[in-house]
Amino acid sequence: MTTQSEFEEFATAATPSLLRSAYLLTGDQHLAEDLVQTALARTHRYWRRINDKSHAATYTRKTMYHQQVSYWRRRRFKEQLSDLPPERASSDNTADIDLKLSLRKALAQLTARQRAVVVLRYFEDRSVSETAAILRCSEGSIKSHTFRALNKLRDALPSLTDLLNGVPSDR
Amino acid sequence: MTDELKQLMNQFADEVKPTSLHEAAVRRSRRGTRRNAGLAAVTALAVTGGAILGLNGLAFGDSNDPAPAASPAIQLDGVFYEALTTTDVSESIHQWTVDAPQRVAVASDGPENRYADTANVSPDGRYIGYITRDTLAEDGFNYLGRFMLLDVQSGEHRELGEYNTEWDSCSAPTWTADGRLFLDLGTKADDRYGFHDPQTGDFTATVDPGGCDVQIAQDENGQDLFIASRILGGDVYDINVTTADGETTTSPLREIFMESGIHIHNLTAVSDDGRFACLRTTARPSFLSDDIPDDPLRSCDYIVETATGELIMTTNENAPQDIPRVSGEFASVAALAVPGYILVAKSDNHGYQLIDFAGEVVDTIETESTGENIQLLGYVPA
Repeated sequence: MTTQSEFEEFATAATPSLLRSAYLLTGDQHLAEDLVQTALARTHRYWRRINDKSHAATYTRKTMYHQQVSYWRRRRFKEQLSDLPPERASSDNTADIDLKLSLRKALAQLTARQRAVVVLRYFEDRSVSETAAILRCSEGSIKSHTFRALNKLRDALPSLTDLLNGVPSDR
Repeated sequence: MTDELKQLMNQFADEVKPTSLHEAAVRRSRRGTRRNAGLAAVTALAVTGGAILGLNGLAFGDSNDPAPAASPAIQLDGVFYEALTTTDVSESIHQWTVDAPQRVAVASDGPENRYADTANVSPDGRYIGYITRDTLAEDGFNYLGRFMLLDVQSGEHRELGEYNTEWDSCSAPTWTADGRLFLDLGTKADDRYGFHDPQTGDFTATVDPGGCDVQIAQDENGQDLFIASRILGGDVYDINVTTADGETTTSPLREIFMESGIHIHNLTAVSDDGRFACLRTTARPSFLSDDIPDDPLRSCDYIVETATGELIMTTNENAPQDIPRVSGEFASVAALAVPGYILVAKSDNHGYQLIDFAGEVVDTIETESTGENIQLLGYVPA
């Protein structure tokens, strides 16, 4: 298999999962695509140097999260609360739409690092130590970010409070 | 309950549309590699004056006619300030003049300073304001960065303040025409917005400028005008103009761009009087499927009239609007540094052109080849 087809196979397989996490990190289709594309481009650039290709997914995911918490990237792409309704059509029922809109707004209240921690821990099911390794910070820092993030989520919108009351801040 | 949060996040993630990204990622990766290895080859392709003119001529509508001859009325004869970024993301600032085109390093402090994304040159060229990257603080929790002022004359880097990840600041330090440095110190600062006087060190609080990417112009009475981009949510931005009294009006630009399905991404530069702005939009070729070597945060692809929302000129070859197109790239934060004209970085990355608002090339400056990414930070007329 050529290097090119090897990378293509990897990227094709990895993109859907990366895109879902990126969407939770950014809340926007274009920004999510841009984020994943940036991470894949970096992986491609170093593809020959990645001896064990089974590490490529981890490397790309780490790159994606680092990009997202990069100060000047998130400065631009940070969402703010908006009265604008979602612009895409959806087949969800009203309750689901309300809940998702609530989550979107609540996530937008978090700092980029807090949001990354929430996505890693409660969407990707990463442990504190795994999350710390991906974001390159201490486990204590992850616990603090988690605690603050959950408090913010509870405060942001009452409809999420019941949902979050039982979520532990570390494990 | 964790499962319920996960389920809700899964539902949210289900909104994302599947798409193939590997081809665009490969193109972006190769562009970066090619750019740093092959600038000399590009020079060879554009070795004749005729070829250079051909590559950089303006095209209006469907026309590809070369640009008219330069007018002797105004010339680029001042000092150029550029950020140079290497592949290891080490950044430096250099200056040069038309008479002495050899680049001279003004600052080269490694990767911790965000020159390309944040540095702005004072109107007299004496100072450069910039921001450092945020790094983990001693407490192991907070991430701190600093607002800095470089005295070009003495080489001294002076710290003006800190920012914290919890204190979202969203504007790079930027200058007024009379030499005050605007600072956005972040959401938790007592006085978030204000002007730093580099001569006295005084900080004077000012009004909320109504958004991010703040640029300062002056109205006909010499009062400050704050022009900013305001994020409405997701990928939707407005351009606001706020007076020194704090009265904000919103430009019709968002709606005008939306007619073509385009969003505004950044406010990069404004003219001294605030009439014109250079905007970075989702229409730029480098957005998602770009064919240009890099995509600097402070690039811009449309010159617009702020108040009316009129689209004046673009660098996008495939722009849907029937407006003049210019070959090359608008020169980032310095695009509108010469009143009445537009500075354009040539498409071969070896120099700059000054064009007027009719699209006529007024002056062309060639620069030396380098293996680094270059972004114009400022131009100070002689």
